[in-house]
Amino acid sequence: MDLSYSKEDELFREEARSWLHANIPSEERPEDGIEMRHFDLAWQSTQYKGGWAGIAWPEEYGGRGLSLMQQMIWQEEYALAGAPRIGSGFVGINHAGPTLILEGRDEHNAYHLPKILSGEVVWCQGFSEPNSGSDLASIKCSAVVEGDELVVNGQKTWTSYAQFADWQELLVRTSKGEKKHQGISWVICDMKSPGIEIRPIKTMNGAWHFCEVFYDDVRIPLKNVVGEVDDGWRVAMSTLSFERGTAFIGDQVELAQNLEQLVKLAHNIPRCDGPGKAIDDEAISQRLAKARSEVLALKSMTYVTLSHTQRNGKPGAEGSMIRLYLSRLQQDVFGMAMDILGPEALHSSGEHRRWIERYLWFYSVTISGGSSEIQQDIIGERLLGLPRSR
Amino acid sequence: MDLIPNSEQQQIIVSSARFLADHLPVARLRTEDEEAFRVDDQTWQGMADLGWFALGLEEHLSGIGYTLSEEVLLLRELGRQIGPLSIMATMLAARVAALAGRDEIVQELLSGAARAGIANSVGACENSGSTLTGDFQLIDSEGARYLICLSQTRAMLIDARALPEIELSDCLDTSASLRRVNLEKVEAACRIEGEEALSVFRRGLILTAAMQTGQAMACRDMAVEYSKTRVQFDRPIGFFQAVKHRCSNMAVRCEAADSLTIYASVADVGLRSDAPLAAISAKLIAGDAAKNNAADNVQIHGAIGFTAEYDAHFFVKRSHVMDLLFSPPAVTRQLILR
Repeated sequence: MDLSYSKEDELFREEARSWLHANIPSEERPEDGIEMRHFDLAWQSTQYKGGWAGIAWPEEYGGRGLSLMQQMIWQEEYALAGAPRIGSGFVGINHAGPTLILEGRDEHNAYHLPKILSGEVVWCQGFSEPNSGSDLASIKCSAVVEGDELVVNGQKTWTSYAQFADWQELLVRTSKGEKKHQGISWVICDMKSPGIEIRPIKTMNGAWHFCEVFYDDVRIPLKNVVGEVDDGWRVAMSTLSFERGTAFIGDQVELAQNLEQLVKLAHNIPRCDGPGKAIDDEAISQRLAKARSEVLALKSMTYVTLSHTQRNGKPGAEGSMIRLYLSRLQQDVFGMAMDILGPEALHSSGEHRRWIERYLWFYSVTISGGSSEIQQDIIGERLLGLPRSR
Repeated sequence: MDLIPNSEQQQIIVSSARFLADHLPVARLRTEDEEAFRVDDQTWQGMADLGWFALGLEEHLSGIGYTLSEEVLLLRELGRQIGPLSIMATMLAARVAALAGRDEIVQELLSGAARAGIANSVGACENSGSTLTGDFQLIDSEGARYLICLSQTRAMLIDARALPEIELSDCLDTSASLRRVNLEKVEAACRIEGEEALSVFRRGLILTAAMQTGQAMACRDMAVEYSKTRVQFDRPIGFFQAVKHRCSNMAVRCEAADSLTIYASVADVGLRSDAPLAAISAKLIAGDAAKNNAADNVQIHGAIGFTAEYDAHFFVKRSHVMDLLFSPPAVTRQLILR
């Protein structure tokens, strides 16, 4: 067991660090609106031109094809340097792209992958429906084959950045299978198609983060189906496992930075119930100490999982443990920020607005992409071998 | 970077688990005998012959020359069986004696001729000079020739023969012997200070965390096994999310405790800058895991978990002893924020 890196990896870290230092945009990333789309695409394009796009993608598709260790190093350095969040680029780079790499036909890949990498397009994800959240396989949005087209009718929801997207990875029901996982297809949908209506939804942190999307006789070429018709569940699952690799390293580094900023804040802000600073409050200092240990535990869990992945080639179900731990800790840290701010926590556009906005944002992390309860099911069933509930 | 045990380390895990299952299984505690904490000479000699007390000690200090990481893997197995604390104490005592250049004491401890217990400070104790003064709990001092007393600034061994006769107290955890004592200027048999003392203190924290991790793992395994076999409402209770999710939380606590303890040991060996924080954090996180998993294990077993004849309560009781070793939780948290 050791924590050291090879000379080659150390050099790579240096290279990544200095490139990031020289190229990170100086202006702040807009959190909302079309300016956000422009910003995210421009930053992706900068990374592409600098040779840093698609670090986990194979070289034949224009990526860097880096080793797992180098992917981790890049993610660490990216977050340490304070580089902009991937934002509206997330689905393209981390979901749709990798799915196409695994399952797409040559013509799909030749057309879409370079555009994703070079920052020309935004992708969104059409998975959840009003009646299909945790029970994703029960989707009803239907697609009927007519000649060489699919005709789609129905609704999707919680689609992040749909209002800014060019393309969508869309799950539709093409037939009623014996089991609900059967009869689903994974389709590339052009968001400019006639019959698509997008209604943005305001979230509790005040952002227009996600949308409802309605489909009224939307025609999609049959050749846009990725994998086989009715085999979309398998295709979708292959993407989800891709996400459970090194995807949380950036979040973990960012959380560690946030916690250290919070400790500083607690040393500076008056405690709300008497003289002295917030840090002098025993309850606050205890929670900060615990969180600092937990942040380090999270880092070590990530390293252990990565060590397993290195040996076995594939991330295991331990990813669910990291997700659960990370999301609870994010909520703890930002919940603590509210208590440290005390009365200041009510001034939502004051100097501490970022803490307050982030606090509200982190309500989403135990819900999106498989709720904490679903993660606990996965841990119980796949890791501990308890009887399946579903 | 790799935090998975290699094949040699796997061997250490397997062979120590086997020895403990044969000689010191947790089932040994299911007895009306009030001195269940005793370890017979033959078993103790067996451990000495296997090289346990010399395992992580450097070769130039007369040890076998493995590292803290191998000690962690061994003590994790010991924690699973609520093993005697005198084993960890003897490992640490041999190190203190070796660093103090007292080779004859090192030989006594490594050979199995002498055992060590722990003099755990209660409240503030005077922390300098060559004598020990203050209130202490002597843990596993029964049958021990030496007692180790660790702090951040000084580590020392006390010769138990220099102490007056002290009556045994009933210990919450029947697997450990307990004595309450006030010491007044007791001369140390040997001592170390400064960076060396601090490094042994940290080692004590990491080894404690390793045992706590083992306890948490044993509780997880018992609870999961029971959830698969106990049937209520015509199903194994592990089918129900209330039980399943409790088990999942136990597994997550184990993963956090185990990963961090191993990380802390490797960071310590590699003298990384985050090693001090990792050591103290490991004790806090593994301590939480040991306590919470012990409690969840009782709950999942229902009334059986509440009985004296079942093993679940031993883990609850041991978790409180471990919590207080070397740095109680309040001190631990202060050290983390420093």
